[in-house]
Amino acid sequence: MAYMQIKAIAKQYGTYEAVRGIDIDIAEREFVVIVGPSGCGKSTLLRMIAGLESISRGELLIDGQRMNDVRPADRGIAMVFQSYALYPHKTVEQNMGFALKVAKTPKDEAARKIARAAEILQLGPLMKRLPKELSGGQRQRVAIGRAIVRNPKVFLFDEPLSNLDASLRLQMRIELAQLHRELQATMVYVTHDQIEAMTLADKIVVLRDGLVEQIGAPLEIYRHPANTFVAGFIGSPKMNLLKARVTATESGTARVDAAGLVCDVAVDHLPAVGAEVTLGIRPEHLVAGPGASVEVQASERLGGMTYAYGRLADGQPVTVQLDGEHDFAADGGLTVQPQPGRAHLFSGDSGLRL
Amino acid sequence: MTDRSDHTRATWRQSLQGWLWVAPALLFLVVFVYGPALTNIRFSLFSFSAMSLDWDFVGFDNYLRLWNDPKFTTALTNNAIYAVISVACQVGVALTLAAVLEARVFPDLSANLFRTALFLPSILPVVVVGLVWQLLMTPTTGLIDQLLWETGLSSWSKAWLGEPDTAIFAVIFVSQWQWTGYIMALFMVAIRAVPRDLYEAMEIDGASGIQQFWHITVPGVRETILIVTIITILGSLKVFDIVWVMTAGGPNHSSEVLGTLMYRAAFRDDMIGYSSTIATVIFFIALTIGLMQIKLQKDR
Repeated sequence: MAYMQIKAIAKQYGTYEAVRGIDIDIAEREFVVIVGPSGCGKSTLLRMIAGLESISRGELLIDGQRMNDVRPADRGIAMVFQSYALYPHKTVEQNMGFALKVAKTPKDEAARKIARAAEILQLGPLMKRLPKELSGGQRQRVAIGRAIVRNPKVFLFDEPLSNLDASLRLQMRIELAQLHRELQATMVYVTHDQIEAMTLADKIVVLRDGLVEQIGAPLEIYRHPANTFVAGFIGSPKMNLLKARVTATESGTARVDAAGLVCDVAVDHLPAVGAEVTLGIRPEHLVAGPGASVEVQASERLGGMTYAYGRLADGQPVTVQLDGEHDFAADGGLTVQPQPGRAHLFSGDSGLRL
Repeated sequence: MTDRSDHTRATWRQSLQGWLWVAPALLFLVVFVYGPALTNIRFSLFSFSAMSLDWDFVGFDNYLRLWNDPKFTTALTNNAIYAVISVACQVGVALTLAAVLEARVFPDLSANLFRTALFLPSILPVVVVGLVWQLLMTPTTGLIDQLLWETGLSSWSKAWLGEPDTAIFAVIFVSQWQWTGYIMALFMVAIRAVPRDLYEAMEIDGASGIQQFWHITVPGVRETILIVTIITILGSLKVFDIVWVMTAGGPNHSSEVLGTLMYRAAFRDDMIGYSSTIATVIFFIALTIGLMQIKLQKDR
């Protein structure tokens, strides 16, 4: 397995810069998920790693070797595409064995590698079928199998689950995590789905507009988002970001008020009293109790929990996650208070964590 | 019981409505396609002049006569050569050109110029193309001959359209010049419909450009290959205008094709029955090829 260094990599299309100088260190056996909204440059970055896009600036190193000008097949990578990109006129077995055939691998060795990948992915009964005869999940497995047989240094995944339905996505997520444990491989995975990022990654890279917003372990990012963008992007439902005013400060703690929602927040950079800040609090960290009143406008009852969508007294939208079933149809009112120590504070100007 | 009869009535009404919708097109087909085709078969059993009212029923005599006509053998052979070269050139060469241009090995500007230059001949009228190439191939004063002389290849100089050995090949060459670019454009459209990431997956798998061509492009456009092959064969079978303009089937009937043979029989020799026989033969060969196409497409 390999380590990878991405050093100040940029991608320029004419005057437009899709990736604007990104640095990421990926350790051996690490599962790195690059996450961000559409157009943030995540797929472009992955394609540059794969060699499918040229690198305009910066350096890509795999195991210390510069890969900028090495052809895709010689980089020691394998890629699973969003569309699976299975060769439609070849059987599952031929799809998986194609790279080995091109590399002129001896037949018995190729057969052994294909059989092993088929066993790992339980593809045995499907080997003679064409891609069109497979379900979405099976195609996905074949695409992964095709990557496995190449025994790559690094696996690259480009939104591999986005074409699957919700239940299959969950199943494949679990299988991918198992696969990573089994293969002990270095993997780089691109997605716009923050749940995939949270559940699969050893390390998450959050991108926006071609730049890294934050790099860290999933829970580290969840607990300590670096700015309002990351705070809003990671977590579902998304974090409430409320305009608030600092009413008091005390060593390392700021007291803020957002339309009656009063909160003590531990901060590294103490804001001035009276400063306008953004209070970040996740829906699951608001509990029913005496505090700010919320006028509930809609609710979703999921059985085990209820999401209430409403507005604070000053009209700011807020989402609250409540345990159990609550019916807000008759009574649209609710008062909430934050759980102590769970809120985040961001600068009102820059959006950076305080 | 009432329900059932209501249902039957509704189905019948729907069916009638369907027939009424297709009736105009069907009528057009019967009057202008199937009718004349069947009438033509009937004509082939008679011997008559366009101007005469006397029709002699001769049975299959016209067919026997055609079978024994050496010009028919020459024409059929020429059509076959035409078809083979056209398929090789318009499917083989056009597909290769399309694949090379779509592989983006050339810069965009030169690829566009190349594409336009190749496509341009297909928008010219066949008669114009024929006349221009006739001038180019004129012995001594023609540009081709002069070029051969200038480059020291004077031994290759010949009357391309005036010699029985080369006349049909010269015409076939011009036809390829005119249509290869057009077929290339069709293939380019087909290649663009092949998902890009299949090529990328191949690239990552280490496949060369030629391997990508054989493993992705060719299977990806095989429907178009089949259709283009059939269209090209049928076109070669029906070819008339370019041959008529450039050689009129000469010299000494060496570049005769079924089309020119049929035209000459009808409008030069006034043998409508015999001409209809040639038309019927063309019709049945075309029908066989058409049925083969349907069968091949169904098999896929």
